[in-house]
Amino acid sequence: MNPLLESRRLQVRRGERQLVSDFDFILNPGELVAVVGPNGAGKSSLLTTLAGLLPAEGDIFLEGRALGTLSRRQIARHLGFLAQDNEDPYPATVIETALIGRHPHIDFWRWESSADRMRAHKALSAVGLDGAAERQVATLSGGERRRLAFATLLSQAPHVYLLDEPLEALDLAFQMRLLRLLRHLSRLGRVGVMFSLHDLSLAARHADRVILLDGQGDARQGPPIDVLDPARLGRIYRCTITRAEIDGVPFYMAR
Amino acid sequence: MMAVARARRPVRHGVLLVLILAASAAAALVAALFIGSVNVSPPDVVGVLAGHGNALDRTLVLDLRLPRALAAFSTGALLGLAGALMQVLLRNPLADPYVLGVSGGAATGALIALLAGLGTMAATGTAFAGAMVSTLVVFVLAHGRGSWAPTRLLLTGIVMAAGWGAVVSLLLALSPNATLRSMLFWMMGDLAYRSAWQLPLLVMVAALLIAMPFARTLNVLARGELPARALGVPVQAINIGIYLMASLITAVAVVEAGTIGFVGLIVPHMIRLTGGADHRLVLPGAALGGGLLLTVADMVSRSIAAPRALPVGVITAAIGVPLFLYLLLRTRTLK
Repeated sequence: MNPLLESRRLQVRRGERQLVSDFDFILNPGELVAVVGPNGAGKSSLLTTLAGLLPAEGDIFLEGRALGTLSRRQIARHLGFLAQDNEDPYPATVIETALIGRHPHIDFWRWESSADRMRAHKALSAVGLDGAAERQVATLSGGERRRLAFATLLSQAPHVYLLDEPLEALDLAFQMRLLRLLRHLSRLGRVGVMFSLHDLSLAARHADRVILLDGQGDARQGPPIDVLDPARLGRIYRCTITRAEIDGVPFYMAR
Repeated sequence: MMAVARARRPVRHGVLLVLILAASAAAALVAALFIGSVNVSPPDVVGVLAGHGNALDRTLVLDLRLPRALAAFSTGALLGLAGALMQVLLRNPLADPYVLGVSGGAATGALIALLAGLGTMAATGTAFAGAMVSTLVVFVLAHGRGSWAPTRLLLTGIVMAAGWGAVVSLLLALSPNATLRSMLFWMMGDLAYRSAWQLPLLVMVAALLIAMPFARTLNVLARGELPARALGVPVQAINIGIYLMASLITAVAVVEAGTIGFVGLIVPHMIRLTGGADHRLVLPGAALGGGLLLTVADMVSRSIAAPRALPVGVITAAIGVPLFLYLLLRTRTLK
């Protein structure tokens, strides 16, 4: 069986800076992979490149097919991307926004079916926004907008989730709810998740694998406990980072 | 199931709004046949429409008022549609059909023809040519070597528009008094000397028919370029398509009636404020609303101070500004 997402010798550059070099990576169904690293190390660039939204140097395969040979629409049916921030210059209701996720699945000449609407409503209730379906997006708080963006992705129902800081602006309860939801999705369906975050403790606890970017081209991958080594983290983040364990659960602290 | 029923309501609401606008536009077109600077009594107008009436009444109603009303409707509809498209293309609520310099190019073309003494027929041709030159120059320059970002397109267009503005001032300064008057009339925007309503109407209907299947795609694009690409929209191709269509229909409107401001900026927002931002509503709504507004404004402009005709742009603003502000205030209090 093909992996969901695969990259070979992928180069990630921003301007003159080589952020990640020769990145070989495989995302399998059922996996939760966390991407961590300092600001500007290339977390967003890596996710955006893997989503096919930046020109890629190197090979990317989506479910066995070269990304470059697929149309945006074909990609969007299998791969969902959560951007770090959303703009909404024009008024829209919450349900309209969630329905946008169905776009790649609806034929050109058709409108949203009631099945699409059901999916969007289910996605809203998964992020606790089912009571807000008819509200204007402009009236939502920052955290609620973030949840709505995730609901849009849920109604898109891709196999590969590439999430750029999905926990940002969420309160602690929703951070846990989202992480549990991602775990549930990955176990249940043919879904693989790759998400960036800054909280190393959450990465260590919830991810199957961690990718640590140093911003100089190196991307170390492996089990959280090996990759998130305090000495290595200290070198990359340029501050003292210690690891403690409470009831066998790792916690990271910067000093 | 409750939730599904609730979610469908906005669609019905939108259909209702389009129907109301269509009925109002039809009523305005009929009313335009009854109103004018020369008095033709309502029974006589009905008589003409039924195929009777004297020759003078027939000429007034069928050869003057009807073509003019249709020209006003088509031009307004083109401007409404072009405004809605530009606002998606540039992801900027302040965009209007003229923001990228199409009208400046058209004015320059028209003024050169008038200055050369070629007459108004030739000015129509050179105006269209000027609009197309401006469109192509902005298209090529905005593309450059990098990506076709809305900000870059907007800046290129605004700079081009400013350049055309300077050229227009120069041409006006250089022209003798005899031609100055016709030049100013051309630029003020007026439906008085236009008779070819068939072309704008045809272009408007064709543009709407082409754009409508893409309305759902425009909804996605309005959320921003990156999310749209992530949701499978071929953003580059769609952007180019919107740009060319909006420029072309703006050029047709400008050639038909000069630069009539305000309609293309405000009407799409009025539709969004009353019916929501779904482009399956906004596109036909902006076309019908723009047509309705300009038909009514033209009717008022040629009858309110008869026999003198006021500039139609003054009337569109006089009707549109209070209406728009009312809608805006009403929406604020709802939130």
